[in-house]
Amino acid sequence: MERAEKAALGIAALGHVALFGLLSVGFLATPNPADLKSKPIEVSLADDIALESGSPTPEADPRQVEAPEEGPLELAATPPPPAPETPRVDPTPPPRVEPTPAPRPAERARPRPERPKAREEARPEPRRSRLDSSIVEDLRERTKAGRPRSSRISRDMIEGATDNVSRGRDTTPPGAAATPAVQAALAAEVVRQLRPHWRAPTGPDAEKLRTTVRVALNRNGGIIGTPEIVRQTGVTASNSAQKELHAERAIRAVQLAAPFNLPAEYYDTWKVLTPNFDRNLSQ
Amino acid sequence: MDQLFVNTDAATLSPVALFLQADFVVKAVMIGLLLASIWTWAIIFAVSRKLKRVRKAGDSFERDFWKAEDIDAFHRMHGDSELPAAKVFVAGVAEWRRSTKGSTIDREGTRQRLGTAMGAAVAGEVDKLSERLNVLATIGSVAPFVGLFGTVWGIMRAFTAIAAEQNSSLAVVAPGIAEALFATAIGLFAAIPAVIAYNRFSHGIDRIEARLNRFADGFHSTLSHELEAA
Repeated sequence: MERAEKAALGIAALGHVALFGLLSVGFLATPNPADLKSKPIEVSLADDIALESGSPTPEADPRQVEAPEEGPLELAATPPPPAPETPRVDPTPPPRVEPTPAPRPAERARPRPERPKAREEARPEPRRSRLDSSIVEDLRERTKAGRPRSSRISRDMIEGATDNVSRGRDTTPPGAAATPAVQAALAAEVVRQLRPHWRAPTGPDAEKLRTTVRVALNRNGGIIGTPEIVRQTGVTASNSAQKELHAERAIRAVQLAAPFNLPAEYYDTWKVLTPNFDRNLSQ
Repeated sequence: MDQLFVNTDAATLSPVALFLQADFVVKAVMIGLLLASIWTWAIIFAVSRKLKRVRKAGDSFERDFWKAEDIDAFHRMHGDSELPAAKVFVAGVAEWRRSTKGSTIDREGTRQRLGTAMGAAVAGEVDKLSERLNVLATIGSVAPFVGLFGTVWGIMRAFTAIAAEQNSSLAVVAPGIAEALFATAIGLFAAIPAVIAYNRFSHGIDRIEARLNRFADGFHSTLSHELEAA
């Protein structure tokens, strides 16, 4: 090889190195389109927001605050008023008592540990604390015994003004329905319980399939009847062979996941589930 | 709702990254094609400089030759030149001296020998000039096929990956196909300059050969006149 050819070889090699270096730098310098977009924000999609009363424990009665026992001395003057009150109260209990047991049994309130404890601290008498457990029982007891109740009037209230239960100051009031946040949490929990049993079919365009299943649940989380397909979307020519399998596996996933373990106080919210089965559920 | 977001950033598509993540067969193809490209450009630089020099120096040599009064003095001056025209001239002079050494001169035979000697010198010089062109021709015709081989191999591998992952999303396939196509890109990158340079250089060498032949013919006719006179 001549000297001139060696020089030319060196030039060519240098040129290639420079060119590939430039290309690499150029590729690195191209703005990454993903970076230009704004950073993802976590968004929860909920149809209904606000203007709806909600609470974390929709069924619980608010805690009652009772005045400390002031002793019968003060009330000695007031016993007469409660006594004539009882016949007036009598007609009211039936409408109040009867509709309540089915949806919200009074026993539920009792196992809550904090309330009896609070009562015990305030008043060691066990009988009193039972009376205070709920309005319903209280009324029932009152009408049965017909004896004047002890005072629920707090110290700063006007004497003898009322013997109604005073509202708690430190508990949230009950809500009419589950809040959107609760609904989202329930939906996530349902998906979490379905996930181990869902296996999406693979194939061309299989990720486009989306099957919506409707299933009715009883209070224990078990399935009532059989789950049914509400709709199926994303069917194309190439994945139409998969759609039967997709629906079948969706129903099977629901059946395998039952009984669902969901909080009982939101039964109204989850008594009918319509989970969507698509590829993302399995990922 | 959470969509699979694949971040195929540009860094994974830079030439170096594509090379590094390639299969070893594809890597070998890429290295071979890169060497071929470097070799092509080395030949292009060397040959183009050589042809330019030959053309320029040949011009001035011929100008000087036709102006020269004394051929022997001119021969002494340019006897050891590397120029093709000078080589042809030296071959002609050497044949002339050998043929006219004796007492009797065979004019017809001398003319033929002069012609043959100078024709052989022209052919030899053209061969020397074009000795690297066959490399360009080979690279120009073979490099695309080699690159295509690398691409086919890489795509086969990409399909194997698809079958193994049971996932046909573009994000899984894209890097393999990009790396496979990169082999064809390098093949074309090497072949295109090689083909252009080959055509250009063979055209230039043809012109130089025609010019040498014209020079040889002119010198031959000059020597023939000398033979008549002798």
